[in-house]
Amino acid sequence: MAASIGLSLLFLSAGWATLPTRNPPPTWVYRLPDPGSVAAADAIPVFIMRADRSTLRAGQANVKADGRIDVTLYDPSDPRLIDGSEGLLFNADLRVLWLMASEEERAQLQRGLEKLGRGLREAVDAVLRSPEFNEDYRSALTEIGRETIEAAWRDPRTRAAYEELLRSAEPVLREAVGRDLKAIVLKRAEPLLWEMVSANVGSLFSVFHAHQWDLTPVEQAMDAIQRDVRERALIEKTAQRILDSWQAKDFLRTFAGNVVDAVARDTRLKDVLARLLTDQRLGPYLSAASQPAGELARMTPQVLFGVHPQSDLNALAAYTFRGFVTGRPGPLIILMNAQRREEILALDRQSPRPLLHGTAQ
Amino acid sequence: MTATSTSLDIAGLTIHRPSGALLVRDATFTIGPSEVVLLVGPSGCGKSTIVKLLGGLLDTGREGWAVAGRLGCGGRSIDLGQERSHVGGIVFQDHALFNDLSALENLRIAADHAGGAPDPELVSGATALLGDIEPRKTIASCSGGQRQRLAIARTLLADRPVLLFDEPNSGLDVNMARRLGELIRDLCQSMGKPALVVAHHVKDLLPVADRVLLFDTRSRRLVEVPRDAEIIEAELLKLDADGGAPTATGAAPAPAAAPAQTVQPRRNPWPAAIGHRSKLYWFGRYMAEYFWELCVSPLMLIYMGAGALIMGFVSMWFGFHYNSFGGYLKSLLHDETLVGLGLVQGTVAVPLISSILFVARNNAIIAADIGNRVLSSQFKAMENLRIEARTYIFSSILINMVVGSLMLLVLSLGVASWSSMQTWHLQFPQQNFELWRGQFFQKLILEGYRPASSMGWVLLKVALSAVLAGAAAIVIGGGRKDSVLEINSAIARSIIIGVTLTLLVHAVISVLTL
Repeated sequence: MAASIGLSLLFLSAGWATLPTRNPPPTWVYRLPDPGSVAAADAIPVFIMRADRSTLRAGQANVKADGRIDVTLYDPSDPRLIDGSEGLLFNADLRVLWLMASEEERAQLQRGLEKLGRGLREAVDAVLRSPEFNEDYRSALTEIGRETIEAAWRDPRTRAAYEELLRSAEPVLREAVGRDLKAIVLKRAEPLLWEMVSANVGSLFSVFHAHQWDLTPVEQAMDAIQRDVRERALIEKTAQRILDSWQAKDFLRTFAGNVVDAVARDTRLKDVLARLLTDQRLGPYLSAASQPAGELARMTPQVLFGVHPQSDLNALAAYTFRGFVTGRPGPLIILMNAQRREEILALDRQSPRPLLHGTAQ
Repeated sequence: MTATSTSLDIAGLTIHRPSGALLVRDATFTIGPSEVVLLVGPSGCGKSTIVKLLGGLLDTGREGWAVAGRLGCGGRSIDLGQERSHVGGIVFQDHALFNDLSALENLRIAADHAGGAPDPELVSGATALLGDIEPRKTIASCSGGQRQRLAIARTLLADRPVLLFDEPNSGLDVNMARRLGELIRDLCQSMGKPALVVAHHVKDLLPVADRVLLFDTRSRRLVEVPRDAEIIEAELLKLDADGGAPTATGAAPAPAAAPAQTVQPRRNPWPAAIGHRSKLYWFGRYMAEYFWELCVSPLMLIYMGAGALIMGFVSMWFGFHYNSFGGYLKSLLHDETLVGLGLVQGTVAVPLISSILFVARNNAIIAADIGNRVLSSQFKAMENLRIEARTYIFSSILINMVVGSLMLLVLSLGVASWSSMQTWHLQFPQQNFELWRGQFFQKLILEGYRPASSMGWVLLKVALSAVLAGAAAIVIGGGRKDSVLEINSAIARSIIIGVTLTLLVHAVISVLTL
């Protein structure tokens, strides 16, 4: 009998020890610097950042409507919390994982991205230079491109926008010619007169002999005018003024839209692209991009999500991943020391929101 | 002891077997008060059937034995073809003592169901046989002679007008058989009750018999013969030679009864110990007995605890290690995996393994227990003693199957949860246990420790499978048993059927509540 009672009590106490703690009092209280910027929420996960920048789930928090945040820690006596009470509020997206990565990890990812970019460029170049592409696709794609651009150009809406652009460009051109170009020309015209006289003075007094006029000063003046125009970036400034006008933007928008519409309507393009993308002959030309792409695909989850066979739990990555998959990224809080907080804020002033220490009421 | 001076009159008794064959024809005899009559005949001729009939244990009716004739006893006349006779208290051939009760409890239960408070003189007289037996002794530790006397005392305490002895000297040596015969005669004389003693071996009992009835298997009649051993044996030999009786199988050699111990004169503790208890007490007694046996015996708890421990470990270890992406995504999918494992473990895996372990073990016990009671005629003895076996035993078993299955489910869930939590901590040693607690119970326990509604279905399937399996074990164990081999077979069948029913109930309810 005693053995049975003992065993029953042992089993019950084992089970009791597994039950979750309900409604424990908050350990720490924070407040948002701008109450109302975050909606009230329950059971926000709280993490603590360790010395190696990895995070550990440490509790949960409730955000009240007045901006007060009650943080309940799993283990308030955790020694890591002594120097880790500065809180940052994040949204659970890839940005937070990027910020939590070490400088070395971020540099590693950037190197991977650059390598992939180079590889892609090489791959595209190789495809465009390949005989298969030139024989089977180039002419077709060029023809389609030309026809779609022509079709878009002929479109009445494009023509109307272009006319409007010309009308708006005329005063700009007139002003450029009348003010800037005139000043340059006049500046060069006065010396030109005397240089012409000086160069052709012999000819002026030898009226019975047919001499050619020396036009070298004129050519020099023209070169100087062109140089001045270049130095003052007169053409660029005029073109920039034209392009900054709403008429130019409207024209470009209308034209681009009509090109896209024409491309979408063109069934030949779909056929050509389908053949191009499934053309196994072009596969070898893409090898320059496949290796860096594979490396980046392997490296990114390892760096950001901590995914490898023997990994302990990366609760931050798990929570972020869930938000990513469900499309509902919620807020989260990471506790850290002041130095870390400043480092993260130096990287990104917008995404993380520093929490102020509050007092329990 | 009160002398009742009752006689037993049987007139025109005819019995046909369920197969239609004639057992006995037109038997008429009288046994007077204090008279001891021997009923002899070849083995298997039907002597015990007559005893069962007089003790009210023969199933008559359309599908059973066909009986005609009248019985008169104590001024009451019974049509044996229409109603049961309860005039006889039977001392069974194999004693049919209740071996789950102590020696004292065997007598107490008989006295408490005899109707009203027991007569002190009757108690004193019946227990006078038991001076050398320690009341708290278990039946298993009693010698053959002690069991014989306990069975007689129990039948006497039932206080029936007629005493019926079914081969009481079977397996006893000569001295013990003679002492038994003297005991029977003394009891009849002191109580004034008639006794019918069925005997195959007559020599030892002949000196105490007043008359001898021979079961003539040729004419199927009861014939009175002289009290002469040689004549009786000659008649029996003739019957055997004529093949009127089935081939005698002979009694299995029973262990020799222990020689009578030298009893020191001392006060008989039995009468004071017997007392009187209500039927509720006996219901509680059987409830407690089966509660211990089916629910909380230490071995049962260890067995269930080990099952839950293993289940908790297996689900958590393999749940994280052998999912589709191996260990790669265990970190990313940790929370969802933990919530899912908690739900599956709490609502499907642990309830199922707990039910299977519980049913397999208890169905074996129930089938063995009931089968043993059938084989050793304990149910017949209970019926003869007017003890409600169904109320006490069957309902105790079924109630304890339900209560025990739910109780052990709670304990199993506790152990499995603890095992899961520790296994999880092995895999994620840096994480706080509270993280596991929050995720694992997310779909099982709501705010304020309120169980989720799915737990109601869990309780239903566990309780339903336990009660169905228990009922199957009772039915299988309660079937006809002629040997220990049949009990073994019943145990195996009850485990298979019980576990199958459990699987079906769990599967159906789990699918319905998906």
